[in-house]
Amino acid sequence: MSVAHLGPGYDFPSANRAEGYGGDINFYIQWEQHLLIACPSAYRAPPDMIFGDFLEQLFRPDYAVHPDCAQLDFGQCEWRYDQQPWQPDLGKSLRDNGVAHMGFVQFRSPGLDGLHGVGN
Amino acid sequence: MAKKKLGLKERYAALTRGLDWETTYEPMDEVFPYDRYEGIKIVDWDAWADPFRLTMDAYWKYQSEKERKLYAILDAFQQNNGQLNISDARYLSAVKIWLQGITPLEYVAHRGFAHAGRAFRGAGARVACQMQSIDELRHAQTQLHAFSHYNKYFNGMHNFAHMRDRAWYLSIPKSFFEDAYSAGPFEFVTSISFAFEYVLTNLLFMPFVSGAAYNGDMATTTFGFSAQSDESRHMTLGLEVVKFMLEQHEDNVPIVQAWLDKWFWRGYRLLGLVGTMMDYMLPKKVMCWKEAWEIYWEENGIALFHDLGRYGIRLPKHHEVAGKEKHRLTHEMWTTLYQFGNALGLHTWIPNDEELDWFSEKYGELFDTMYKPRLLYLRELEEKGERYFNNRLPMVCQVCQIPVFFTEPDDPQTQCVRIVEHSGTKHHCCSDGCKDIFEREPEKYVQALIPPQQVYRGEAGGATNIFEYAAWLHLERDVDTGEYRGSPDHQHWLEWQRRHKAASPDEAA
Repeated sequence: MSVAHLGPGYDFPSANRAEGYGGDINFYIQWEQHLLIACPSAYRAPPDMIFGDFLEQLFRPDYAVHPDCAQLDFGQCEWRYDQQPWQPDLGKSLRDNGVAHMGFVQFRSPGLDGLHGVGN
Repeated sequence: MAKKKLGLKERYAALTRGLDWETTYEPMDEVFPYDRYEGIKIVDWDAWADPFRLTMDAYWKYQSEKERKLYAILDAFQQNNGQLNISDARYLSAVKIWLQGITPLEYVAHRGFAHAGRAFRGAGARVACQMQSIDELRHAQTQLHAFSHYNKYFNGMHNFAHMRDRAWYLSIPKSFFEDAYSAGPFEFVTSISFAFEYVLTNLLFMPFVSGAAYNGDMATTTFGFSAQSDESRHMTLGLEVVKFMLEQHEDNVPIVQAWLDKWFWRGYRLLGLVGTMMDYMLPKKVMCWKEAWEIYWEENGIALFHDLGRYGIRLPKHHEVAGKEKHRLTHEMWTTLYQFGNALGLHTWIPNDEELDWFSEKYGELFDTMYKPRLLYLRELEEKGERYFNNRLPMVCQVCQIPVFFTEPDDPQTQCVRIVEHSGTKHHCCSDGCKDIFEREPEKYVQALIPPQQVYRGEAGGATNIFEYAAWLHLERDVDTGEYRGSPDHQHWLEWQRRHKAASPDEAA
């Protein structure tokens, strides 16, 4: 389907295309079964950033409110990228791991299943 | 011979359709370029049944009478310090979300109906839309006047028009209306008059106006009564336009169905804010969101759709998902608003024990196992002096623009995210309902300005974090934003209550 329109052509570039980020990327991450943090979080980062550095320097401080966070071992997590199984290398860059603009990273942490036994 | 006086019906015909004519210098299609491109086929505009036979002179007369009564009460409310008689200052969060989110919609509705009132070639439809356009402008004005008194005493209301174009949570109502009024006139009237004002209106007005009455807000209650007769006119127009399209041509049925699918879902998503207001922001509760949904949608709304079944219309897609979400929608949304409170122009808080018991009674087991422990944990943090704020920008739905906090229809422990792609760029939706809307008109939604993305692209006044972003909205930290307990609004309220009691003759005696 497409938009019913008057006149020729109705096509516009996406407002959030990669070119708007000066070489950086805008991507998302979510820690599953930890709904105390209400939404997946959005980040802007250079694609050369090492994935493990991103997790330790940006992600972990943001999620420190959760009591599970201090025990979180990223090496033991089960990962997905754009909702497909994914095995990132924590020592490699976002780019080398295939994290692209508007990518969606999710992970589960077996053994750390959120508060109250209900994924809070 | 005495002049014959026209009857009501003739008078209406003379003053509306009698003033219309077929153009001859220019072809009708060029004078009315907007009423065919959506694909709606109208065989006979004369078959339009005027839903209310109101002439302009009668309209002015009725409205001015209502206005006089309304302003007399607003004056009395102000002179008697009516702000001191509300249930609790937490109630002001409901007023603020109305002022920031809903009042600007009334103004945009005025513009939308002015456009529709020019676009239809049938005079009956044009007149109905023109009157509604004036109603909507009046509603925006009278709401502002009703609320303005609160602005003298409480924070967060000083710059609503500026905020409307910038704030992340106000992009939810804003994008709803911009989606409607950037569509053609038939879709606009279907979306606003039918889906929103006819099908879902009770879910908007009941919580706000009854909520205002329950909480001692005479200003807003009086506005509500003053708008009521207009609203019933608007609802009649909504039903008439949908029946008219369906009766005119069978080719219209699938187009109207697609609009009903879309606008039911968009309306429902927008009402999530209203449901959260009624469950969490009203210190004295009217009813809970789940009960309201059951009465106004599951009983009344579904019966209406069954009536439309004779035209080949079925229930809107994904309505059953809304039924599954009714147990959790407002709890999920409140914890979202609570944690993004550093960029909100209203206060949030953890409900007190009495309120938690009310939730347990209304929402049962799921509340007790999932949301109550979550709220109590957040309260524990607050009591330790570590009130939680999530200062990292969230993923936001490309269609409804709500942060993606909803959970899977059949699993309240798993977040629901849908990925969509158009011309090489990925986008995210909060639900299958929003995903369907995106995929039907991707060229439209890829243009959406999503607030967190805007910040990261450097297009929000150069803000790089949530505090700079809030300043760009003209919100003062911990005055307009943040936790209710200990806020200036809270402290003022306690002080005024103390003085009010001390000054009252009963207490002094």
